[in-house]
Amino acid sequence: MDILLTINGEERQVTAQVGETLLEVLRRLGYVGVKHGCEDGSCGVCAVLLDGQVVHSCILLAVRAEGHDITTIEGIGTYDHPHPLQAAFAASGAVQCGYCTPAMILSAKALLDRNPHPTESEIREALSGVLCRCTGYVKPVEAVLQVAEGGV
Amino acid sequence: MWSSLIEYQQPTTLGAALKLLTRPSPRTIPLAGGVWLVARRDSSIQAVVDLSALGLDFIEARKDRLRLGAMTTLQALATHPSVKYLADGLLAETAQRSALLPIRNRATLGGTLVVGESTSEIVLSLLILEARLVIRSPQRRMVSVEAFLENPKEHLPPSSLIVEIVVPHPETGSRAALAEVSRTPRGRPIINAAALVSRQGDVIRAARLVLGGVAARSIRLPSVEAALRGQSLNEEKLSEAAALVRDAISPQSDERASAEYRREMAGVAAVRALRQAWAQAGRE
Repeated sequence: MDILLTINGEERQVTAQVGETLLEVLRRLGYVGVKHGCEDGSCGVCAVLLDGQVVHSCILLAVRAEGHDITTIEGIGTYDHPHPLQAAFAASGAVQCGYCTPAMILSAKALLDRNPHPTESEIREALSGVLCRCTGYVKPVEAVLQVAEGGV
Repeated sequence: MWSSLIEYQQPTTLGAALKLLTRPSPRTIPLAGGVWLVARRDSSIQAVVDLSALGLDFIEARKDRLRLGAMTTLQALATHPSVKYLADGLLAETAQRSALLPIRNRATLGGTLVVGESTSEIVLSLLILEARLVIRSPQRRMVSVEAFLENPKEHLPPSSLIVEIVVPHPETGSRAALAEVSRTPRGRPIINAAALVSRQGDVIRAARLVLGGVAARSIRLPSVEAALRGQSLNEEKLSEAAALVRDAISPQSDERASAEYRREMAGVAAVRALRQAWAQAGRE
């Protein structure tokens, strides 16, 4: 089926199968910052923002994303002009293998966009949808706190 | 990819949705949040009816009850001001505990009830608050959450839909509490219990008690509730209550916990919930 997806502010005409998930379609279109993990909504590395809210793209049929704003990690900053969260994660050692990083950053962005001064507990809650085996969450939480406090 | 899926529909009227669900073929099922369905990718399903364009995502506060559309997301329930005041926030808190944020942003109240996980906190709170479901087939029927959980297939045949959940306000002065036993702070609980207590001075006027993790679906414990009426909840009475709880249930062993562990923890969780609800009701 032909669907019109709005990805990082850009409208894209896409041919997708009924049963294709948003994760599959996004990666097929080249948005490989959206990571492939568990395929069942338990690990969170596939997280994207749908109308500003963090969702698992692996359990969302692509066709349902039509008419909504999809934000991937590619859309929030570039290598030359990184988003403050990207800069903070990179500078603070919050990135180890990096596989969960796009999902963590998008989750943090969704939080800060509606709550610019969250408590540490609120930050942990916001990141709780993303599993990380490397960092123990300490430095990612610190990085978000840093950005929230305007330190980057 | 959900390979067996060949058809996607997003009807804008309930009538059209029900019509699609009635046809004998292709195998067609309703799609709410989809977090459970899409993860399973059931290969016998060929068509889905997206319910998101039916206007079923509403939250309406009435004087003595809350009307919740079946497509209301768990996150909307966790954060909506009208929901936060019901039963000291039991509904909002259990919505928040039921799933992690990315799931809550999609999972719906109706879908969560149909999946009917025994330890689902939001289902426990609907059960203890004696919520009622409005089901359309297209005839309109109301059924209590309790009756629905006891026999979901009978109350929700394939070509019918839950459209609304009505949650009555609990008695003024009654207080609710939730207790959970789980391996990690945000993991799915092995056992959970909720209690709703109203006091008359130093005795229980009425108590409601629900348990998750001891049966296929969440259950109420009317025999324990009856035994608690008129009692003063000191530690001795709570011990007796724990024993009554243990006797009233028939948990099964599975890979997460043995029946013996579930039985023991059911008593522990029930007592914690009762103790807390009792104490809070006494502060009024």
